[in-house]
Amino acid sequence: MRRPIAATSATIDCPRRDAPRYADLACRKPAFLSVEGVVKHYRLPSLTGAKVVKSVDGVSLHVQVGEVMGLVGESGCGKSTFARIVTRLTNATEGKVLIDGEDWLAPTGEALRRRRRDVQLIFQDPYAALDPRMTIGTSMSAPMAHHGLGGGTAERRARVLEMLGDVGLDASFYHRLPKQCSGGQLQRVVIGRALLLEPKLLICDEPTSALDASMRTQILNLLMDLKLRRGLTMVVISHDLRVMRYLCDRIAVMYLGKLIELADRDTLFNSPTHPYTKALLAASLLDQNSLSAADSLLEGDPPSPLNPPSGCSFHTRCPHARPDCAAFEPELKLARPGQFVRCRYWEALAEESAGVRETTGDPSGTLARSAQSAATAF
Amino acid sequence: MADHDMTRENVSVPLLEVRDLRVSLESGKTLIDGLDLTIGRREVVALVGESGSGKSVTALALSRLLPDALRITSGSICFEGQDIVAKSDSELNRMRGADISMLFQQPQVMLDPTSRVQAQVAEPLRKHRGLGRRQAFARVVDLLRSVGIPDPAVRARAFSYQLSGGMAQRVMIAAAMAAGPKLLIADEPTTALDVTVQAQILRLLKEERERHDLSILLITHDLSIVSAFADRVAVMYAGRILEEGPTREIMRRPAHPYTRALIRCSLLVPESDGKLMSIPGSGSQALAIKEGCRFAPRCTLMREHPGLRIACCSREPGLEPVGQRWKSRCHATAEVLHEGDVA
Ligand SMILES: Nc1ncnc2c1ncn2[C@@H]1O[C@H](COP(=O)(O)OP(=O)(O)OP(=O)(O)O)[C@@H](O)[C@H]1O
Ligand SMILES: Nc1ncnc2c1ncn2[C@@H]1O[C@H](COP(=O)(O)OP(=O)(O)O)[C@@H](O)[C@H]1O
Ligand code: SF4
Ligand code: SF4
Ligand SMILES: [Mg+2]
Ligand SMILES: [Mg+2]
Repeated sequence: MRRPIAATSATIDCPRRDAPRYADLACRKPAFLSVEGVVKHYRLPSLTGAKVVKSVDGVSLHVQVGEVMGLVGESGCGKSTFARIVTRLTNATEGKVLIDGEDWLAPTGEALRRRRRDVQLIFQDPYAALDPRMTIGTSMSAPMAHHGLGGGTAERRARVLEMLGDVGLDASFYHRLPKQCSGGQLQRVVIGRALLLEPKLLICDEPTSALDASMRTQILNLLMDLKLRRGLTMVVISHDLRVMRYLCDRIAVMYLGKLIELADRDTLFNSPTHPYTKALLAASLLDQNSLSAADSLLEGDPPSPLNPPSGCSFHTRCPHARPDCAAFEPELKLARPGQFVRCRYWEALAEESAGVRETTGDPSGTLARSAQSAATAF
Repeated sequence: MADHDMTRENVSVPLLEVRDLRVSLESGKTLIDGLDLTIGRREVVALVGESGSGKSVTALALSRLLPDALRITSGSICFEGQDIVAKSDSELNRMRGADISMLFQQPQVMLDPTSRVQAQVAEPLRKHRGLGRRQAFARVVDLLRSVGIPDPAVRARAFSYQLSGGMAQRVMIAAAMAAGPKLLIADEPTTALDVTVQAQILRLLKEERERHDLSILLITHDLSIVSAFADRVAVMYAGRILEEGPTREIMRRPAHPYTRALIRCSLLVPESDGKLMSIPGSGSQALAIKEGCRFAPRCTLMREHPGLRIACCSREPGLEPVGQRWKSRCHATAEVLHEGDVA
């Protein structure tokens, strides 16, 4: 089976400097994962007849071999649904997904079973990912046996024990049940189980949110190592922007089922362009002040995906919304090289905030300024 | 927040006072090994420490929700001056939800998938407040709205598996606050939430605390939440507290080598070899250490100061005062503090 080419040892010493950069679409290689116009609608019963939740509403994304793509966005905006579609845990209502140029939504039955191991998902919730009645050892070796990997029972056992060591757990975990482990220990089991299948594409849904600071850095070092050594392609979903900044080459920002900004990592952190992205960076700069009432936290309720706002779906909370934002839906457009933005007024806003930075003290510049300081804080 | 005037009265009768708490498995293995913790009224205390150190077990012990396999073997848990270790199941049932309420790490698991959101949030209202069905529903919709759930009347009729992780946690918060508890024990309540909602939830908890004189024990891995939200922080390792004190001082210049390492890890700044700092080894074996400091096998300070080795490996340090309501369990507090600010 084909494996992505390993990076040279030189890149391992300094992960950040040699990470791939994509200036714009033109100079990019063909994508390893191609998502085209994917849509997922759920029906919810309600008093006034069934309502439709547009969990994912037309997302297109292209991820290169060896690239780590980040996905951020508000709770309920459809990130996990996206991950479930790409891993074939749920069917898309519409759209195409290609992996290595081949249609990934078409295979069913035996053909799907054989290819499933290529795409592994690490869940947000390790408790839900493991069978409570199975020991850790069984949980980890069963998928290998299922895909005919790892030789006989004895070899598989050896592989599992080795992997337990790789993810920082000792051999005693082999015989434990999930309820005898803490959340962070279980998340390591889940990551180890996915890696045992030697996937080509790893989708990580909040891979480190259940982990403590030290374990988080160990898992991040592990994922970075997989990226650099094996050239593993990954999609990482996380609320932790520091994790994103460390791990990802590019970052896609989602709001109510749609991409609203897509940019190279440094571009996103240094010059966030969509007003929601700016708010996101500001909110992640938690401090005493950001928790008191009068500050730059996003105002208003997150809109209901049952009844998304007209026009630009962010207009109900956007501090810069103009009257016609409620009428026209903006497209995802190239703003700068390597940066796509879904906002009709990003240019005007960029000029305004440049002006604000010169004439300090303007209260409408709060968000721009905190986004600015966020850029330096990460 | 750290500036709340902790009057002498509050200090002398804390809301919750845990002394020398021990929790063991039925097989005899100790999980919590002599834990001391004090929570004042309106105080937010953060409990941090590595995975498996016993934070969740502590939370379950304090709310007396330990699973059958785990038992409190000694120590006291005084809530408003009364020891709840000795209380009967029916007394505890009355306290739970009304006095002490708990938020869990995994909302999807805690919510019953077969009953609707409305039933789960209404349960404490009907149990402790005696509200009827209709009144309870109206209150549920209010509570759901107050925790930021859009279309609360529709969502109240949904099943929990239909909610995203973030929404499920907001439902749990609504249920936990329903009967107006005095102490909220929140075990990683925002780990599954994105930063904007996380900030809103923390703000919501802060408002609840001010409105209802709520005290909060917050278990989290996110040290930026600790800095922003907690008055005091307690650092746990292998079943006991290694350092405890005011957040601002500890986050700036901790007195314990473990706290210092934890803070450095959380910064996610690559070291000279390009890797992120992590604490080598694991704390899972530390409970078995019978002599000396339990952190010794992983302590870089001890390795850098060979003179410490004899004391560290033969005598376990006690939890000694470092400053005003600030304690640490280390033989070399002066050397740690001498290392200066952590970041
Ligand atoms: N099985 C389902 N039935 C009905 N609605 C669903 C189902 N699964 C997800 N949804 C809805 O789809 C939307 C997106 O959910 P999803 O879990 O993908 O969000 P998310 O971005 O991962 O949020 P979080 O970060 O909180 O987990 C939500 O409004 C959710 O309620
Ligand atoms: N029911 C149980 N049986 C056996 N061991 C347990 C049980 N529950 C927890 N443990 C162990 O107790 C330790 C503390 O767990 P926990 O409190 O969940 O850690 P955390 O600090 O991550 O919340 C871990 O080593 C865990 O494996
Ligand atoms: S289109 Fe209008 S409402 Fe939408 S983000 Fe841009 S300025 Fe804000
Ligand atoms: S007592 Fe010794 S081994 Fe323990 S933390 Fe202090 S210096 Fe390190
Ligand atoms: Mg999710
Ligand atoms: Mg826990």
